Amino acid sequence: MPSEIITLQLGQCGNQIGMEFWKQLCAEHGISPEGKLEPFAREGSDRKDVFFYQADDQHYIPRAVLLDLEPRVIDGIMKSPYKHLYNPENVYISKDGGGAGNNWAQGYHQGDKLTEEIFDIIDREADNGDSLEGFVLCHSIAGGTGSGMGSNILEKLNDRFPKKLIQTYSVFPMTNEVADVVVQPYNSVLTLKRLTENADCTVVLDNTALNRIATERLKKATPTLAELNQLVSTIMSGSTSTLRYPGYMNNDLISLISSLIPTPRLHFLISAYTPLTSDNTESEVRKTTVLDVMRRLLQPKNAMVTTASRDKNLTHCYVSILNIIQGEVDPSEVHKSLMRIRERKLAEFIPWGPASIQVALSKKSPYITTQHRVSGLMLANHTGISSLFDRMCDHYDKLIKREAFIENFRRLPMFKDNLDEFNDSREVVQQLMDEYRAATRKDYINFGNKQAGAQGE
Amino acid sequence: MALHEALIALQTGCSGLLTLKQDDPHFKKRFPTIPYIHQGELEILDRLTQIGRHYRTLDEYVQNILKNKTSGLYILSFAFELRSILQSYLHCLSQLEHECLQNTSLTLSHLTVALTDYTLLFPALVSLINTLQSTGYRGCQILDIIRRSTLDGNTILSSTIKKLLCACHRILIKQITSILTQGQIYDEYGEFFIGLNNNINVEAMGMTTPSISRMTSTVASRSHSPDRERQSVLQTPQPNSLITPGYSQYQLIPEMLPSYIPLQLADKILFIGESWLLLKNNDDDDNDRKFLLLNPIDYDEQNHLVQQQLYALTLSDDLNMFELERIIEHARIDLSLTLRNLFVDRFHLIDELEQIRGFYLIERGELYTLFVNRTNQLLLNTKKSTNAIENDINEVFKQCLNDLHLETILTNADKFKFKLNFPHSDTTAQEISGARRLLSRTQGLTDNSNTPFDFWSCGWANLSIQYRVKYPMKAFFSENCKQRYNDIFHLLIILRYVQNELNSLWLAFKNKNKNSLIWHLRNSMSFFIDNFQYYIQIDVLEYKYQQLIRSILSSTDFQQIKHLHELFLADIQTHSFMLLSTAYQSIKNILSICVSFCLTIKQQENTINNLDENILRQFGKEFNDEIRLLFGILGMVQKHNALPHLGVFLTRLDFNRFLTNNNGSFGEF
Repeated sequence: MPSEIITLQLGQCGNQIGMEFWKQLCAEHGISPEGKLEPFAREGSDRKDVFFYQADDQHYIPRAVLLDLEPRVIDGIMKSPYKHLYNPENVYISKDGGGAGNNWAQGYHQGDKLTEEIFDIIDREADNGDSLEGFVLCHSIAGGTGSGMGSNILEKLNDRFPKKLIQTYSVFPMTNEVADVVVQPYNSVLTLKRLTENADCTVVLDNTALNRIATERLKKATPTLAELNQLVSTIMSGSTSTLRYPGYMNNDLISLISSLIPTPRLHFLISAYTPLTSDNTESEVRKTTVLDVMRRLLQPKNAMVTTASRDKNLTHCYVSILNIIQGEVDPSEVHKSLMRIRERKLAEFIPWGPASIQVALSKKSPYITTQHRVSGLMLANHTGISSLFDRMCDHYDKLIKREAFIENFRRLPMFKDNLDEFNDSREVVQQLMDEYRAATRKDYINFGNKQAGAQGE
Repeated sequence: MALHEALIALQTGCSGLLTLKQDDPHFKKRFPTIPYIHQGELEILDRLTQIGRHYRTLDEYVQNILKNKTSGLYILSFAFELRSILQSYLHCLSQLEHECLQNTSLTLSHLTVALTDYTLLFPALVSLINTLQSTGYRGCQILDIIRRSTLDGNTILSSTIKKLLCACHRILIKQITSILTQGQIYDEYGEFFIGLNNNINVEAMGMTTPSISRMTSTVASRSHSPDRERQSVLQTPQPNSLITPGYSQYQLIPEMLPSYIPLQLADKILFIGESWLLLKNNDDDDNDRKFLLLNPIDYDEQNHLVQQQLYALTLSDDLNMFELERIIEHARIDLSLTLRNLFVDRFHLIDELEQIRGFYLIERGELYTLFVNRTNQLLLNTKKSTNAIENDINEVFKQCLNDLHLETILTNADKFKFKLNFPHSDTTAQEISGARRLLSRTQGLTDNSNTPFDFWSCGWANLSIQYRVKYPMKAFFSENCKQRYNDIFHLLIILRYVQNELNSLWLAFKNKNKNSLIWHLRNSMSFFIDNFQYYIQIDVLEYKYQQLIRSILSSTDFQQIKHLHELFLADIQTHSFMLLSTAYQSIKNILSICVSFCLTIKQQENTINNLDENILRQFGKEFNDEIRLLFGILGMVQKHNALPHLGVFLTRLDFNRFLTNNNGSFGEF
C-alpha cells in the first residue's frame, strides 16, 4: 500500500477540522462511521489505502493520530457516531489534561516532554505502511496546543523523516478585530517560523476569510464553528481527491506540491473552492461550467485567505496555480477556459519564470450526490499572502514593543533567560515576507544568491 | 472438287492442293495455277484456308489447355468456352458439307458468305490467345485482356468475346461467392486477387524496430509484403485448395486485381473474407469458439440470398458491376454490423480498450507512479535485455498491481508483459553521439571520470509492452496498432520517469535550500515536463479517447470502428509530435537533459555546495537552447495550423507569455 499519508490532528481546532475531514472521507468512500464498507461501495475503483488501512476484520481505520493537551474535543469525538472509527491507540490526551492555556510556550514545552509518547504513536503508524509518503498536520496557529505543540512536532518530524513530505493545514486567526486570545500574535509568529522552516507545504486557512465566505456564500449571518470546519474539510478532501480517485496524473502528494512550490520557502498556499453550498441552501442551483468554476476560483472573494493585491508599490501575483476540477469534464472545456482566462488577464503571474494554471482532473465520489456537474478547488501560491503575514506582524510588533503579556512566556524554559526566540522568529517571518515580495520582481531568480552572499559576508 | 478441297482446308488449314507454310501464315504455297480452277476461286480458297489455319491454331490451343491441367481455372474456363465456339464452327462446316453434297452446283462464294462471321472472329481470337500466351498472364489477370478485346465495334466479335469473358467471370463470381459466404478462398492455382499471407509477419514475433525508427514508425509495415507474397503465390500454387487460416492472413494481391474492379470493392471483399475467418476461426481458444457457435444470427439464410444474387449475375453476358458492388456492400454492412455487435456487446471491446488504456496509455497513473518508483534504479542500470531482468520487472509490476488492489480493475494483467528491446548497437550510434556530446561536456567539467551516461540506451528508453491479443481481439488490434501503442507508451513512460526524477530531486533538496539555481532549473524543467504530460495525456489522449468511445458506441459498422481506432492512434502520434522528427528530436533532447541534470545533482547530493555553478549554468543553457528550438519549430507549425491541438500546448507553456517575452527561453541560468 504505497504513498500512505498520516494525518496528525493537534489541539482543539486541529481535531475539529480532522473530525470533519474524516467524516467527509468516509462519506466519499462509502465507509460507515464504524469503519465498515457500505454494501454499495464494494466495487469502487477509488483508493482508500492512502488515508485508511484495513484492520484484521476488514474495518477501515484512518491513518490518523489525534493529539490534545485537554480532553474536551477528543471526548466529543469519542461520543460521536464515529467513536469506533479511529484506532484507540492513536488517540492521545495529555494525562495532565490542563491544556496549554493558549500559550505557545506551554504547548511547545509540553510537546517536548511528551515527545517520546507521541512519537511512539507516530513511528508505529509510519511503520504500518509500506512506503509512507508524508504527513498532514491540521492545527490552528493561534492557540496553545496546535501552535506550540505543533511547532515542536514539526521540528522533530522534519528531523526524523527528512525525506517525507510534511504538509500542514494551518488555521490562521482573525486579524481584523480584537482577538479572543490576547497572545495570539505571539503564538502565530512563533509557529510561523516552524511552518517556514520545518514544513514543506502549508495550506493557509485564514479565519477572517473563512468567516467572510461563510457569511457571503452560505448566506449566514453568524456561521457556526462546525460550518467553518466543514469549509476546511472541503478544502482538505478536495485537495487530496486526485490521490484518492486516481487518474492519469497527480497521483501522489509530491507531484501536487512540487508543481506549486518553485523554491522551498515559498510554500504557503491559498485555496478556494467552488461551488459552495450548505445544507439549507441546496435549492440554489447555479450554472457550473468549467469556465465558471475556474473563473470563480480566481476571484479574491472566494479565496480562503484575505490577501491584498497591491501593497507598498508592488503588484502581487501568482507564482503558481493548481486547479483540481472534479466531475465529468470534457478536456476541451478546460482549454477553452484557460484561453479565456488568459485573454481577459484574470490572473497575474510572476515575471521571472514560466507559470500557468495547472489543471488536474479528478473523479467525483459516486456516493455523494451534488447538483453541480463540476466543482473546482484551487491551490495557489500567491505572493499576496505576505500581506497576511504583514498584518500578523503588525499586531505582534505592537504587543512586543510593550512586552505585553510576556510574563506567561517567561515562565517556561525557552524564554527564561531571554526573548531571543521571539526576535528570531520575527526575523524568519520578515525574511519570508521579503522573499514573497521579491518574487513579484523580475530579478527574483538572483534573490537566493544575494541572500547567500549577504550571509557569507 | 474445289468445294471438297475447301472443306478440308477449313478444318485443317491445308489440303492436297493447298498448304500454308507452317511457320509463316502469310506465305502461301500452293500450285500457282490449277487448270480447272479459276484464278478468282483460288483467291477464295486461300482465304478459306486461312480460316482453317486459324481454326487449327485455336483448336490446338484448346486441346493443349484441356490436356495440361495446370493452366488454371480461368484459362480452362476460357478454353471450354472457346471450344464451344469452335464446335459451333465445326457444326457450321458439317452443315455446309451437307449442303454441298445435296447441291453440287454450290460455289465457293457460298462457303465464304456462310463463314463471314468466322473470317472476322478467328483472327481476333488468335491474336487474343497469342497475347495470353505471350504475356503468360493467368487467373484474374486475363480478365483485363479479354475485356479489352470486347471493346470492338463489331457486334458479333464483341458479343462472342463477351461470352468468353463471361465464362471467366463465372469463375470469378464463384470465387467471390466462396469468400463472401464462407470466407474460404477456393483457389487452387493462385488466381484470385485475394491470397494468403503466409509470411507470418516478422512483427508478430514481438520484434520491434530499433529505436530511431521506433519512435516514428507508423504505418508502412504492410506495404512491403505483397510483392514478395505475390511471387510466392505465383510460383508455387497452393497445394491445398481449401484454406481456412487464422485471422488477418488474407491479403490483396494488387497485380491480380482486374482494372475494372475498384480497389475499394476488393477491400470490401477482403474485409468480408477476413471477417468470416474471424467468425469461424479455429484458433487456440475453444471457449470462444463455443461462444461463437451460440451466435444466433442465421448466416445460412443470408448466405443463400447472396449466393442467389451472385448467381443471377453470371447469367447475363455483361458483368453488372453496379449490382456486384451493391451485393457486396450489402453483405459487408450485414457482416460489419454483426461484427460490431459481437465485438462491442459480446467481446466487450470497450472494456478491452479500457484495459489497453490502463496499460499502454498509463491511465492508472498511481500504478505507474509506483512502478517507476520501484524500478527506477533497476531500469536505469539495465543496458541489455535478459530474461531475468524482464522477469524482475514483470514481478515488480505485478506486485504494484497487487499493492494497489488493482487486480479487479486491470483484469487483463496477464496479457501484458514488459519487454526490453535494446536496439543493436550500430543502429543507434548516430543517435547516441548527439546525446553523448551533450553529456560528456557536462561530465567533463566535473572531476568525475565515469563513462558518459546515455539515457537512450538504458532500460527506461527501451521498455515496451508485449500485449498478447487473444482471439477474437486480434481482428481489432493488429501488430501495427500494437507497435503504435508501444511508441506512445515509450514516450509516456519516459515522461513519467523524468517527472519522477525531478520530483525526487524536490524531495531530496527540500531541506537544503542553499542553491537557488538548482531550484529554478528544476522548476523550469518540471514546468515543461508537467505541461507536456498534461497536454499529451489529457488534451490529446483523453480527449481523443472519449471521442473514440463515443463513436464506437454510436457506430454500426465494424470496419468503421476499426478505422476510427487507427485514426485515434495516428492522431495521438501526430499530436505528440512523433511524426515531426525535428520537434520530436528536440523533445527527446530536452528529456535527456532533464535526466542527466537529475542524475548529476543526485550524485553530488552531499557535496552539493561545492558543485560548480558552471555545470548548472551549462545545463540551463542547453535546456534553454532546446526549449527555444522547440518553441520555434512549434510556433512555425502553429502558423500553418497543421495541428489543431498544438495551440493548447503552446498556451500552456507560454501562459504568462514568459517564453514570448524572453525570446523562447525559460529564464537566465
